[in-house]
Amino acid sequence: MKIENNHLHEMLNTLQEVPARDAEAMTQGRAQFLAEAEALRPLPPQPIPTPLQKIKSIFSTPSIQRVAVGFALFLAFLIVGGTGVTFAAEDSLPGDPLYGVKLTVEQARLRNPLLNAQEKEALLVNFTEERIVELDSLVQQERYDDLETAVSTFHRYVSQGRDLIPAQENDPFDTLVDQATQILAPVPEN
Amino acid sequence: MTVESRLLKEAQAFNQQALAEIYDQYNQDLFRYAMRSLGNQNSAEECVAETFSRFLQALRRGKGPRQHLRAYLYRTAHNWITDQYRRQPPPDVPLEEETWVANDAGLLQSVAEKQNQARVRWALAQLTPDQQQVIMLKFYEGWKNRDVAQVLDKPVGAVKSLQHRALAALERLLAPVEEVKR
Repeated sequence: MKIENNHLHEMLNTLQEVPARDAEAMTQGRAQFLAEAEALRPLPPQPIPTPLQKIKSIFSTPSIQRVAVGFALFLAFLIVGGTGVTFAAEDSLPGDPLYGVKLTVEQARLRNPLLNAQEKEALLVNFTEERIVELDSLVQQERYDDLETAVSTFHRYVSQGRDLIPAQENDPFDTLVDQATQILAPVPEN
Repeated sequence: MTVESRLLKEAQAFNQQALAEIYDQYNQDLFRYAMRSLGNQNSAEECVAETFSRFLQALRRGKGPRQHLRAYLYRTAHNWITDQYRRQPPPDVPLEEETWVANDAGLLQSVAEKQNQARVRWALAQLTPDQQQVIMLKFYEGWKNRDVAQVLDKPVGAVKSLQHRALAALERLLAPVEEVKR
């Protein structure tokens, strides 16, 4: 830029020289600028999660994960373990370790409040037939010491069944009592 | 893509390296620019800090320059200086050179120079903001009309006109003391 007025040029030139900048001030200014930049840096945009991702994120929470895993294991135990035990107990005989489970399941089914009288009688007939099968097996295996439990349960079911239904000509329990008598006939007296 | 475009793009993503590069490239020039206008080292430092802070704030709002970074920074610095002048106008400079007395020749010259500097600053402060920028950028920084036009966001012809009026005003304001007295 050319200035023809010498005096003006000379006057303006008095500002040409600038004292050197303080090095420490410059370093501090730079650090302050970068710190402010770091503080202002925007967070990266978060994608909007799909409903499936939302559900996944809920179960990715450690505490919920633990509860969910625990609950799943508990259910698995109940389903696999409970079903397995119940299944194994079905063929058990008095004196076997799982026979108690078998009777407990029968009692639970009989206590079902949704059963009407006919359904309950049908169950009692089934369970009494099961005792017949047990008595037959025990006699064949000559496990006479275990007969007492089966006979006792047999009589209890017959008694409960007869209490449920009015006296009738074709009492299903009569037939079952006859069968039991025949099975037990060869058992020694003592 | 030019170096400046790349820097600006990375600065918009708050890339620390790019921001540091921008600071290193322009902070000294801005300090000199502020120092000439303000004549005070602390104020000049404050001007530099505020200029870069406003730059960051603009980036954060998704604004800030898309190009002509240097022009943007000088404009920001100049706006800050103008605000300072509005809040605290520069004091009137006495024309009577006889008001101070000194025996030491070196000291005498130093004081005279400081007084002349104060007069020039006072005279520049009397110009319009656009006229000030034309003088500051063309005379002291050696910019071309085209570059000054970017800062002012005006055509080159307007810059030439501003320069003409600014020099005329400065000739009057900085006339030798004898002429003023007459």
